[in-house]
Amino acid sequence: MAAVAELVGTKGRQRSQSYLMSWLTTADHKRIGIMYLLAATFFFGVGGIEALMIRIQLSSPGNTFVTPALYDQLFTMHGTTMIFLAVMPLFIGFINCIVPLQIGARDVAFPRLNALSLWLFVLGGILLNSSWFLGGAPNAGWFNYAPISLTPFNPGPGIDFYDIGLQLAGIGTLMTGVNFIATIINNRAPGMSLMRMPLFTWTTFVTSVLILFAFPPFTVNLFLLMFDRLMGANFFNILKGGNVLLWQHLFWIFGHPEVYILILPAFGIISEVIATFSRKTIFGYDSMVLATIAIGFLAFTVWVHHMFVDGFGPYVNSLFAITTLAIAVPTGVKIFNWIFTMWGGKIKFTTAMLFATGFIPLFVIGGISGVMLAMAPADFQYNDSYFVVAHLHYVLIGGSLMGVLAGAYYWFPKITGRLLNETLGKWHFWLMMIGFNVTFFPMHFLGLLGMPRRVATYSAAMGQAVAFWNLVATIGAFILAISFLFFFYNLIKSLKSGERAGPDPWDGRALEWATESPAPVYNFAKTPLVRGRDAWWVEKTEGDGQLRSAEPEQDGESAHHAHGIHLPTGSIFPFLIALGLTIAGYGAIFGLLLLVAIGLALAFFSIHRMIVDEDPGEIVQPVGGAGE
Amino acid sequence: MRAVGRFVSRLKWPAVLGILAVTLSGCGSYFTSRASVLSPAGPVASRELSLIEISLAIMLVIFVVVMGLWAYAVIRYRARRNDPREPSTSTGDTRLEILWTVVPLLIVIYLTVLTVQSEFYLTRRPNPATSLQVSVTGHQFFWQFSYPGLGISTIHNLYIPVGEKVNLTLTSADVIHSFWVPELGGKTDAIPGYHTYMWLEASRAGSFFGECAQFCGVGHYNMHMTVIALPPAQFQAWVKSMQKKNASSSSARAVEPGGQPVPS
Ligand SMILES: [Cu+2]
Repeated sequence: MAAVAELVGTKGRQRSQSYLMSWLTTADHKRIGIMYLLAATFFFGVGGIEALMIRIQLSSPGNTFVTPALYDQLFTMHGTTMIFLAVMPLFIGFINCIVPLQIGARDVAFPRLNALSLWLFVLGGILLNSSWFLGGAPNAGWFNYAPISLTPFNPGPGIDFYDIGLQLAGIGTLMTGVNFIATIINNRAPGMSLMRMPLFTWTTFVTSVLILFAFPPFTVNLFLLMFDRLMGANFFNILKGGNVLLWQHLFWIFGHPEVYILILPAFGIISEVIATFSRKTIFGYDSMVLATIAIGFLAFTVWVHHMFVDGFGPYVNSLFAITTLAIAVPTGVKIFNWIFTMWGGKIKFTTAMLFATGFIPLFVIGGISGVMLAMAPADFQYNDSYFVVAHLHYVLIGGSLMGVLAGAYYWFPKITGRLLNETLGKWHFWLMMIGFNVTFFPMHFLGLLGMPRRVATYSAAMGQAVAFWNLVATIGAFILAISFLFFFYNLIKSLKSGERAGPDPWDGRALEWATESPAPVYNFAKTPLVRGRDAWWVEKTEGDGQLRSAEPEQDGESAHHAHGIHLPTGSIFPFLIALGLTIAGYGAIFGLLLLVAIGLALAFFSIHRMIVDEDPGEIVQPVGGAGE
Repeated sequence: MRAVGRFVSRLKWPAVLGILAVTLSGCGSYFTSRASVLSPAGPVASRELSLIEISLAIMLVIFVVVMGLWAYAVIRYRARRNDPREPSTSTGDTRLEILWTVVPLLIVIYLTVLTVQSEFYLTRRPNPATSLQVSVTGHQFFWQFSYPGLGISTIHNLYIPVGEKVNLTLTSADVIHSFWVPELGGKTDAIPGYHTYMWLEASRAGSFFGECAQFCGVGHYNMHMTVIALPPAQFQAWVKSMQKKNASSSSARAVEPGGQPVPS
């Protein structure tokens, strides 16, 4: 952390606050991005340990390593943590660090709202995980179906932690979506037309729109569940006229777009990395953009494919099978475009590129099983079996996480100023490829051999094949875990003593490579003028290798040296709003109305202050650097 | 579309599957289990398995083609030492892009046709006059079966006659469960407040292991059942013996021989 601070976001800014306060109050998108990445990496570690405990328990039939009651908490928290607290915030971290740079902006549209998003995520995640020590973790699976989530079947506080923790984090994510829609529409540098935006910015934009439409149904669902559990309402209670499938519909209307929220940013990262290291512009840019939009739209039309065994009948199932199968077409377009970006290129296999190329076969396998799952009558057999577990891990690890890791090796130098060690990176890559496939490929077999998901154990009578493939999967999981030890060691070592990166270590194409590493607090000394797609590449090949300034030159000195750059100042109130809501959340979970009142009072006071306090802004003088 | 259909139907499926089967059985018992989707014992599971096999075969062809292109690009175009090549400046190729949009679209349409046909076949309810009716109720953590026309009720074990369609009506007494007997067919959820339907048929006598597939609480892993398919005559004899037991018993509900009494 100290090393990060040394490197990041302090350049050009006066240090008038204490170290801790400067991070708690920051509104700088780069520092917010770093905190997202750090917190999400921590939660990723927690979710990983839960995964290993699951695999130890399943390594042999009839194992008693954990009790069924603890097992239920482990798989619930593993899924919830990885999806909401690890993979999604890892992407949001990269989006924060990189997208404003890619569009030549000074910051996001609403810097303080961005800080509020961060703190809601961090404190919501802590609240959710504190359930382990405060009466038991949630235990109804990450999709938390009614009625097993209701008080009669689940009297402990675990589900309330799920409900309120995800509500807090979810509101934060929703505001991130709003923020990046506004940022990408309004804050682009002159000349950066929509069809000149880098693909990571495009996928961020579509992801943000998905967040905007997908999270409200989830928010509503969590409120209904909270009313049922804490206030005796009956939205899901059939004895009082409620309906248990209401939860499932609202959940998957959110949940399926959520899957694309977890994969579209990876598509963007893969596009950037493959183009850079093939030394070619992306193949079929227009069709990439169209495919992204098509996938985003179709994401809202397929939710019932999670409910094919709910008995809705042949018309409903056929309709949703068709929309689901249709998604294969734009996804296929992307795969072919990536392959043909490499075609005719001069590919340099850095670790980032290894992860980006390795992504393709893994994601194709996940896509293939996805098509097979879309065929509703076949899904009658796959549904809720280990076949689905295999599929979703090929998509979420083979797809999303490979994208995260390609992004990590690619952008680490931009974020920290130092390169990650390539030797350790290659160890990480190859061990992960082996460990991942050994863990998850056999799960396809386990599903077809009749193993349902979420079973705390299985009997030896299921046959030696079931025991054998489970043992293989457990061995694979440990190889996978070891590969991540290489990664974490690499992160720490490179942060301390990694090779200095310089502004443009990969000979990059988009604007983030046109400024220093790490970027100064004002990003670019002068707002750049964008003269084509691959904006920085254009300047390197057709221009003089310097960014053009979009600002009028004044005699002798530029306007900025005279007046400095105006930046938003930080504020403690975003943190206090999130803190107040979290305190109120604990009060609600434990029925302590006084605590609810104190928390809400703090939150509303802070919201009021954030609104009425004028942001005087801060004038920063640029110091040298690219673009001068 | 037609051409794809003809191509697929012209494939020698028995041969393809034979090769697969030999490969798999070559690996000993690593692909068999007590409740395998791969060893169907009735028309529902067979239909589902054939859909799985056809889609898998098509997907394998796609996988080989895509991975072939990928491997060629990765090997052929990697930068070598002192590589004098200049990377191509191509930005796209409309004809290629149309090709890899249209071909997948045709494959998807073909898969859609197969899906819809099977979907309607599998969800068409058999004639109640000629099929056995069974009500299935999921409980935490056991299955209860009652035969409304016969006045019999059992738990854990579902007795059915061989060669007859059995019409199941499912519901739950508490949380959502999912009825799954892999060798006879796929799942249908048992949902509190709803009645869902499915049909099954065993084409040979035997007992088939079944499980709850929807997470339903701390005993979910242990919520098993057995479907016992008897030749019709034996099934009738079983029905008679159960009804006799029913009549002589002071309890209102019958209990499956050797089973636990139905909790009230
Ligand atoms: Cu159950």
